[in-house]
Amino acid sequence: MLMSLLEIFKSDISNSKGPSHCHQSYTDEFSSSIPYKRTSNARNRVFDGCGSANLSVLSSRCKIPFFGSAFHVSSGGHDLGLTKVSVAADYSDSVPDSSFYGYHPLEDLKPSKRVQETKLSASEVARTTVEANSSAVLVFPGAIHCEPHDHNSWSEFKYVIDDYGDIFFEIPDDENILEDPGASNPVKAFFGMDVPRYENTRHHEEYNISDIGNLDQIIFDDHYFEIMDSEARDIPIDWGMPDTSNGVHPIYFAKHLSKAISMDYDRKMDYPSNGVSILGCLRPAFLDEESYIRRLFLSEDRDDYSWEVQGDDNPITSSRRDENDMSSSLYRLEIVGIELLSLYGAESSISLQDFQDAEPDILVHSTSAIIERFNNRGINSSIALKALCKKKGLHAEEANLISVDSLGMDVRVFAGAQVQTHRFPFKTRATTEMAAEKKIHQLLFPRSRRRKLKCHDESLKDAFR
Amino acid sequence: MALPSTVSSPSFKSTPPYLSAFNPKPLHLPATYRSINRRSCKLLSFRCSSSSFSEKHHNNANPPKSDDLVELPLFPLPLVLFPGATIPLQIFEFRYRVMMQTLLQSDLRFGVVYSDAVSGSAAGIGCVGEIVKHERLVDDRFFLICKGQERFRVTDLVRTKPYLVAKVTWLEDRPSGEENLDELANEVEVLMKEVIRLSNRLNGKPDKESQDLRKNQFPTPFSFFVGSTFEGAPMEQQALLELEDTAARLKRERETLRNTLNYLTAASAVKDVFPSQP
Repeated sequence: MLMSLLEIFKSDISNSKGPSHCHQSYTDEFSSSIPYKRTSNARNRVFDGCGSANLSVLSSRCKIPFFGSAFHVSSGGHDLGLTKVSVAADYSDSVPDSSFYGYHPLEDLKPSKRVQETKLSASEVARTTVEANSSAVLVFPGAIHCEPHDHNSWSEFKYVIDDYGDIFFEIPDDENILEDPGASNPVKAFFGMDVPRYENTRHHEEYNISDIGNLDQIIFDDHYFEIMDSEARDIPIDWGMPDTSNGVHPIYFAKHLSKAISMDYDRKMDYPSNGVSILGCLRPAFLDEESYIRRLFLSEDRDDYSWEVQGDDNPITSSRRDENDMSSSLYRLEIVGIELLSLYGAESSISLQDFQDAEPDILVHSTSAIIERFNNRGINSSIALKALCKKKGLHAEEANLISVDSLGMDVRVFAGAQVQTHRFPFKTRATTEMAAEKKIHQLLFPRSRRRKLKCHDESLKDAFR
Repeated sequence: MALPSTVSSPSFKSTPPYLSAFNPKPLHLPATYRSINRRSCKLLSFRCSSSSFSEKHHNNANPPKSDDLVELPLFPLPLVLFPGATIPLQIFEFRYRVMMQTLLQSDLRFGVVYSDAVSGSAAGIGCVGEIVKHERLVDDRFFLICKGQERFRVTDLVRTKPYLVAKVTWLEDRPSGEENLDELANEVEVLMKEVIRLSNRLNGKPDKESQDLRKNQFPTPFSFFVGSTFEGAPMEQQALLELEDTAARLKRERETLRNTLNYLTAASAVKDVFPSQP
């Protein structure tokens, strides 16, 4: 029940963010050229600097001399974005300027390219995945966390990602499991997915700094083996557990037990999603970064706040948020390697440059709402979806709409024990939530262009003629 | 586009150490058997029953009946599969892709045996995994959802290339008729809920409503469910899997949960006094 409520709540958040994201995207186009160049240079320095520091002294704090100016530029850019948003808000009912897109969203546009794009690139999917979520699971090696055992440990924390692809985590002080919260700590972050049950490490040979590529192996492989062979420990500690549990610390054992209870593998098979795994270092934010990052978190919290229904709860919520702000630490995720695990089961490495250059899909914050409204139509949607699959030569006993972006939708098709994901591209890119829903409707009920929504039932009949 | 998801997804593709380390030589069943037996005997409360069952089984194993033997492809994994449990698997190593092609044409069942990643030795007792859903991915990899069925004991290896195939006999819990199993199962459920509640509290997670863990399961399937949640201690899971007495399994699980709860209670008390400590 609570999980369902959380998902509904998340959908609401996504829905409310949709319009603001459209405006944000508009401002990006306008303002990105100038600050981006400087930031790009600074980012390279940041990456190099943190790379060497992290390996030589893992626990040392790393100060980047050039970041101040970059931060200033970023801050300015963001202010400009906010200004644009506030101006646009005065005309909340207006349709986005058609001259910017070249056509009205509801207008059919003949594709100017001979080869029409049918899906997002891997970098765009990765960026969109990180943009769509607001919390990620962080896995820390045994030497890094402060839990009284040497195995990997994990916890889920909130984060924000700014327009340049920089990711910042907020860790409440009473939940901070870092042994040295003030140090740069190696970490593996999982976005849109849970920690793989038996994680197999991969090498990031493609990165220039080979030492950092080995970081994954050095830090995580050792503890991976420890997990597998707890009896091999030199001095097994007797926690009062059976012999076969010696060496397994109760806190670690209980954490795994709680995790096992919450797993729902069937649903994951029926509704897969894209996942991103990032290897990096969690570096405490500098003082001059903090106000910028707090503002990013607040703009996300504001969306939460707007959905408070009962007036009586407002003071309490406000009070709690204030307390939270005062008792948490902010970290920047210094990225070393990025892996995308797509909902098609394809795995790919994403370079840092590609990730930061990529734009999230324009519908990133609308997808949950679109899918939820689609599913709420009930049997009609399911029947139409199966009919669509049949028309494409797919034998579908069941079908689920699992993903929507501006270029198309993904459908999970079931036949007996066999499952597959099929991509249905839109004829043209959908630039608004309404346009996407219209395109989905056109795919499912092809003749609906000549009918209004109130003729929904008749359209359904047409689909089966 | 990503959907909100709290479930696990397939592991990244690579040749995992445990599969590379797996020793294709015939299973040293006697050694494994003796080892497990020796460990079990250390637990005073289980000594008599364990020895008794071991003897009986040894006697039964001596003149193996041919009609009881079944051939089963084996899949060594660094996890213990229990009857009724659901696990996701990604198949990417070539020999197991070959096995998958064969399974899809005939039977959707194979044997899962726990394999220690370091030593590479495989357990002599495992559980049948039935493929309930399968998806073919790029490069002929597979993503599977498997459900645990019967337990089995490996009696002989038929072949090792390109993948393991073994002769197995089935295992079942035998009714002891001595205990109130329902009462024992309820006790275990209460302890589990308390462990989960305290674990979440120590990790700063919000308290959830008390969920129904047992879900009207009979004591034996519930004991398997409990065992499947002991992911942090796979060797303990293996010991639980090998027991053939539901009461003994539930008692052992109760003991593990009780000790875990004792530690968590103390840790929680310390955290209340010193909030910044773990």
